[in-house]
Amino acid sequence: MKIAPSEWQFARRSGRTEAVILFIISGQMFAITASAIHEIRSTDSISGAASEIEVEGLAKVRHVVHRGRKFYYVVNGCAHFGLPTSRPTLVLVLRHSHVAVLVDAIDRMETISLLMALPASFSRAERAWYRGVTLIGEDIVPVVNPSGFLTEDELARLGAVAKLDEVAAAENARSDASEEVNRAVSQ
Amino acid sequence: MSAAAELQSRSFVLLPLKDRKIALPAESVIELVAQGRMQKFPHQTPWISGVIIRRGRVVPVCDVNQLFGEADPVQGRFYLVAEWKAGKVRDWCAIPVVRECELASAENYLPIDANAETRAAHVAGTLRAGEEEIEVLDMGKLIAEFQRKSATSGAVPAP
Repeated sequence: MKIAPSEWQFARRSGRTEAVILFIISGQMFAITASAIHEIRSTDSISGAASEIEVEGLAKVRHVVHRGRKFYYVVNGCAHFGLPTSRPTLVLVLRHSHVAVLVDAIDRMETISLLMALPASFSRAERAWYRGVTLIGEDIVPVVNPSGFLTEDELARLGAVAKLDEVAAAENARSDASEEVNRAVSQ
Repeated sequence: MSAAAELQSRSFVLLPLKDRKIALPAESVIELVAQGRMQKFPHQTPWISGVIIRRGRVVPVCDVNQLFGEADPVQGRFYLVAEWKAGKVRDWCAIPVVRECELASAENYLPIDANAETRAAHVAGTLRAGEEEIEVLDMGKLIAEFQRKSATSGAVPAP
């Protein structure tokens, strides 16, 4: 056994490169492949289209945003990653998905050519959260898995609650309308 | 060859923790490196405190307090990088150690009850040097045991 020098020895880089967006949640930097992002909006710009949703045991989703015929469950990044609460100012709307993620800030775009697998020692939820890690300068940055924010089960539970809310809203609208008709008839 | 005889024919790396030593089979040790910058990112595996990069790999740094039941935080000067295996899972981990490690042949120590039923599953045997007893750890079993306990209890167990 010998004491090895402490300089880093990098993994072999593949020929392929990938554009990633680096974003910050509660001081922690993450990367996500740029092709997974549909759009980036400010929280203010979507607040008007957001309605509340509450699913037991799923505190990380508090709002659903309706945009035309599309809808997105808004995942709080701090709650998802177990980070201290922060003040998100931006929403990453994911492509081909019903998920939008609250983040604090966008740092920049980068091109990476190195994606290292998450070590097998990591055995919990992080295996679904990340595709791996990459190096940005000398920093190890986790590369998030766009489909890891909500599981199929969580999406199904949210869908069930959203449907109930829609039915309740429709019934309220119907009873409001019939009350109006009744008032008009009695006058 | 009996387990005790096998133990006696092997070499071990002795790791100084704060108040005691533990031993790992020498063949499981990758390298001993001066402590560099450990980095962190969110995860839920309780025995991992961060990661370093060595030889092009991301190497988890173990939380000595959690995994070895040390009471006080260990201010390591070195990382001992070792390989562990549990079933089909194989990985490296970096263990913070406070001083230089020693390479010792079990011939110079007295191995005792390598297969004692009273020992925890992760203890492969014990080396005795004078009054000092040094547990030889099977890191794979220790990590698997820790993960199983922490998964079932939800709380972090004492190893």
